[in-house]
Amino acid sequence: MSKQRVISFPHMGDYHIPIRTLFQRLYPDAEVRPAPPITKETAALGARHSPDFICEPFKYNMGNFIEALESGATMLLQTGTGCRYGYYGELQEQILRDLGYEFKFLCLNRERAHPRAAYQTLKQFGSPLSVPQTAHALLIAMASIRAMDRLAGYVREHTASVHQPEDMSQIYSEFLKHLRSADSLQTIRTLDKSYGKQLRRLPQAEIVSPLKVGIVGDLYTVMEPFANYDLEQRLLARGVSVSRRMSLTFLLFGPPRRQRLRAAGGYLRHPVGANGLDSVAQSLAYAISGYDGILHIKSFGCTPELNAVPALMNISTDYQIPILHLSFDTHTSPTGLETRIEAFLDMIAQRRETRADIQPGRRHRFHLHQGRHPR
Amino acid sequence: MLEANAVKNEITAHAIGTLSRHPEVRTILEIGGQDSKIILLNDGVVTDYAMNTLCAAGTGAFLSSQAGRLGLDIEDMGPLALESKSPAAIAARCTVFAESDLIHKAQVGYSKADLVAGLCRAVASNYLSNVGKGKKITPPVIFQGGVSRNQGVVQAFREELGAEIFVDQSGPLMGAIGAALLAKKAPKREVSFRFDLTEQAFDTRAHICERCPNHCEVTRFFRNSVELDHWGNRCEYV
Repeated sequence: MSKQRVISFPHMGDYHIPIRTLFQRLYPDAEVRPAPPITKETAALGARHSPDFICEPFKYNMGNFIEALESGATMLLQTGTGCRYGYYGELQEQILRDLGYEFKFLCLNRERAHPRAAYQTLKQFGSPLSVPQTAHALLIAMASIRAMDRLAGYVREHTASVHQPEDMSQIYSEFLKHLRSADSLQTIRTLDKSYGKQLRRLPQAEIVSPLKVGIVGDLYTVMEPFANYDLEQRLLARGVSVSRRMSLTFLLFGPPRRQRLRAAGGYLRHPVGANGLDSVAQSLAYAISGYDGILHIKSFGCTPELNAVPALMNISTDYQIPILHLSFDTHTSPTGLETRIEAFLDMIAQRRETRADIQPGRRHRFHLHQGRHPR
Repeated sequence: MLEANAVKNEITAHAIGTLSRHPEVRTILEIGGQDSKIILLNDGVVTDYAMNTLCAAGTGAFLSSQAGRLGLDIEDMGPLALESKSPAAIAARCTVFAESDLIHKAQVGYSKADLVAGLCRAVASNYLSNVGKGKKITPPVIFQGGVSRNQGVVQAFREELGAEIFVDQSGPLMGAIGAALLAKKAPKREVSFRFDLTEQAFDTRAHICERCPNHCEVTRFFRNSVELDHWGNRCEYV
């Protein structure tokens, strides 16, 4: 077995950059190669080898895995906690083995995602790094993730208000290019600062106050542009300022559960699995801070987000803020999406014109729909 | 292609058009051939809307295919439905199953009028549970789209909602009126609308881009052999 090990993993947005750096450090003698970019072919391949009613991230991951194996990967990564995503690893491994592939499967899901267990698993798979060295590698990955999310967030919110929007995305992709080769905390910090400065220095457009839309929803569909048919790009192209709090940074370093429950302001009194609670809390924050509308996006059949819908409807009525619910799966049509977004933006623009005097405000606090505990 | 002043989609256009005739409207129900939507308004502003997402059950296409099965013209369905005293209960969650149910009810011996009335009810209840799901329907309610010509469906909505349903005779034109109003409001442009549409040569060419495994279906659009636009691509390399 002198063959070099090739490590591969599924895609989610641009996060393949820090993940790749991380695993290159953990396994210096292996080649780390993210799965080939997601295409229609990937989606079709994944859907063919997945249960029909499973949610979409499973199918995309599956397609990524198969294409990675076909292009020579010998070790795959998977993770997941929170909802049934946490059980995907086992099922995907079994399906791939049944298809006849041979590979090692590094699966850090559920309880295996805890630091001690994760470190042991990494060791088992032959990482030569000591605990402090592993921690250092993790710190670098976290720093890149934070920097990416910070800048990407700025780009989403401010593209609509700069003079030449294309400069924004250009600066950001240049940042990503440099981030690929950044291998120390110092370099990442410098990149973060200098590109942040470049973005903030772009000349502002004449027209102020673009429409402000917040995006909430299930983490994968929200963060993987292929899965949501480039929803954010479509909005940015229409001159909308887009905010999204969900990111890897949020997932890794977000507020603790109690604080998130409090942030849901009584609209949910218990977590509803994965990030359903966060969708509610974030929507409430958008409603209170006077956003024009909220897009709630989820993969078809996502139970936690489905659980969040009634609470979102209450927020929508109480704060008079329109919420568009969009469900995505591999059968979604981009034209249908375009029509719905167009109509939604027309609607919120019209509302803003005619009801500029109406300020959103808090009306009712509690609702009966979500399990009140008997005393 | 048309050098239009404003490009708007059907939801906005219908809302604006209807408001111009009926400023007090709060709910617009619309059922067309293949899609159905609901638009909610308050003080003349669209506050919410929904469109059918999954299937065509409960749209005009369903009614016309069933009319064909019963050997009726689609225009005759409305008046016939109104004659019925005890409409047949037809399970219309799914078009295909509705058809089996219809055949069954016909075999059992329901009259044609009862069957048609049952179909109309099925359309209305399907619409309300699919498109109107979770929406608060406040009168005045206006019903438009092709299916609003069918008196049977109008009657079914009246019963389901317990409210008066208005059908405007110029209902089918509301979208056009709305589009015209929006164009009037839009900023003036240098080039004016091309009314010489029929004298131009338009051409579309579709091909599958092979540059990456995504295989986008790119459609290029030409006017007099000059490319105006292309779409279907996910990246800029076309």
